[in-house]
Amino acid sequence: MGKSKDKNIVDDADKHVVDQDPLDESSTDNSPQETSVDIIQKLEDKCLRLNAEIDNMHKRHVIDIQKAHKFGLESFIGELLPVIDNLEQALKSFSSTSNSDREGIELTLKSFENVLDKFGIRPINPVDEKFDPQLHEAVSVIANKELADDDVMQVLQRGWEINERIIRPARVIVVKN
Amino acid sequence: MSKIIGIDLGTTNSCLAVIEGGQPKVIENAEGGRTTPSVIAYTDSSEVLVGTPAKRQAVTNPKKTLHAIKRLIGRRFEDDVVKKRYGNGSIQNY
Repeated sequence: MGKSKDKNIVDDADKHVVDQDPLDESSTDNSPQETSVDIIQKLEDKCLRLNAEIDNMHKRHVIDIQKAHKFGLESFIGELLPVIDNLEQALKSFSSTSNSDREGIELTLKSFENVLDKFGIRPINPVDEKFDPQLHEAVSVIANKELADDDVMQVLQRGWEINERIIRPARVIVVKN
Repeated sequence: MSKIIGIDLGTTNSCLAVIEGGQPKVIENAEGGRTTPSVIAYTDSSEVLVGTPAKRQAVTNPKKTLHAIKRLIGRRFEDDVVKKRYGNGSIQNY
């Protein structure tokens, strides 16, 4: 608030000087002529800067709107992810593979994933991949002579991304010998 | 036109904002977060990780992951506070 008040005072001062100009020009003195040129220059400069500022603001707003479109679903999907996790856990709890209940859950999960895919939301499942902190979160480390350092040993929880932005990283156990 | 930028260098999280139209506007980081964990890490491939990625790999790379570094700003490596915190082998190589 104090800032804008200060600005007003400056603006008023500028106006004041401009108002005085005609009076100054009526006198024979040379220096007021220079002052008015200075003032015009100053105002032109100010105008240019304001134009640039508006341009920048416009560009930023376009980017902001694009982002809002692209990532607007982020928080909503974030809340839905536990539902998918639960379906996955339910699948794991079945002992036999041929079970109509299991099949039902499998199909539910699949249709759920299809819907997410339609909106650009894809799982991150880094089985047999190298650990990448941009996409994965290391929960713990474990020694395993058969695998190299920084290999993903086990995926505890799949991660999800929306338009290449992480909603949730994949939670993994990493090999460290 | 000169801009005003505010940086909150926090112990656990940091945040950055500019004044736009008289109102502060928080700048998002690359991951889209409004705050960034105050964590930095140096990987074995001499890559520097900052923020969330650095935090995610902390378990795999504890010796070269630094957090709450704000508490150590202005202190020397030989300082008791630094020694106490990193005496157990952390940041040995730096």
